[in-house]
Amino acid sequence: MTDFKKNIKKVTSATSSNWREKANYRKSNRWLEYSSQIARRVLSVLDSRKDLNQTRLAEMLDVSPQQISKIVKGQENLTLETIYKLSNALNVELIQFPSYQWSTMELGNRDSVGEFIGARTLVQAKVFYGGGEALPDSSWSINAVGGEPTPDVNRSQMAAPPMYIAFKASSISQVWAGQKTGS
Amino acid sequence: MELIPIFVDDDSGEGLYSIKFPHENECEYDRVMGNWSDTEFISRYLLDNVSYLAAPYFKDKTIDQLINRIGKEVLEIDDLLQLYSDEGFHRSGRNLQGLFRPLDDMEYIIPVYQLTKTTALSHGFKMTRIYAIRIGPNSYVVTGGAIKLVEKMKDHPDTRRERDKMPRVVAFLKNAQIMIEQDLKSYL
Repeated sequence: MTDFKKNIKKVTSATSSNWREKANYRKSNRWLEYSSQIARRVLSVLDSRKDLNQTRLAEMLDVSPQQISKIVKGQENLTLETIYKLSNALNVELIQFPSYQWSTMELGNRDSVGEFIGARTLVQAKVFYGGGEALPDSSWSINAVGGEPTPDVNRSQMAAPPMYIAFKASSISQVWAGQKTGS
Repeated sequence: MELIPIFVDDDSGEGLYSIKFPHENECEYDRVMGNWSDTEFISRYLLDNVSYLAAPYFKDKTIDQLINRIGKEVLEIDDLLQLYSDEGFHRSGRNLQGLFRPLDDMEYIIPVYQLTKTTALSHGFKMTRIYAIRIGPNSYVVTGGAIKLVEKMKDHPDTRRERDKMPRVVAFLKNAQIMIEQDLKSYL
């Protein structure tokens, strides 16, 4: 044994650091980033409210102070229920939902609704093609182009992108009619 | 004071160690990485040091962005250590000397017990530093780490404290006669 190895062994603990375990945990639990985002917002509210601290918050949520500590450290995998309770207790929204198609469509606006129906029928066309019979999603085939019912499906041709087929298949009004028949 | 193995070659004893001070529950490497992974710690630290964040270096940055940045650097340092640990740091041509660079940017020789630092490898703005003492080309002892808010270590109490810790660890290593022999021959 070299002097280096001998000497360093004398002052080295037999127990290694568990850095790898912690690194793997951080790497495989990327939700920690969301947890940190919520933690910052909770901390910010706690900082701004003289009537509230972590202990009081724990009481309001009926959880242990340790759980609140874990939440503000950004290390808690929060449930929707806990996020909702936290929001209520702090009187602040902790998460926001992005707008999407149904939240931006203005009912009564012809263009907006027309656009919505168009998008919807392109998706539904593949379901209702086949003379009003709702075919399983997997039965989509190139043979459907032209509007003929397609009882015998050529499964080898199913790789075609559905939106492409829908575009070729029919006008939106025809498909929409098919949807009505089918439903 | 004792050394905690981070990753070590069983045959030679070379590798990365961290110092553990008697008054601490964990070694310095685990302590600083734990602090930097703690949103509450980071937030409080930045708010307590908000006057330092007025420096031009932090222009157009927000506290939130700095927290994000530190979180990203932790993941990068994790990756870096895993790379060295998994793919070898001894026989593969890669050695720890490539990971740590002199604390003093103007130091052009490699003294025994050189004071060094390392950071996440991504380009640009970096906030964290890990400090270590070189005991051989492939052997380093981590002495601590800091969130760097100032250019010179002496300009902030926390980086100054980190700097002051290093001679104490050097004294401990010298006392235990921990040093690669061939290194001594090269530089004496």
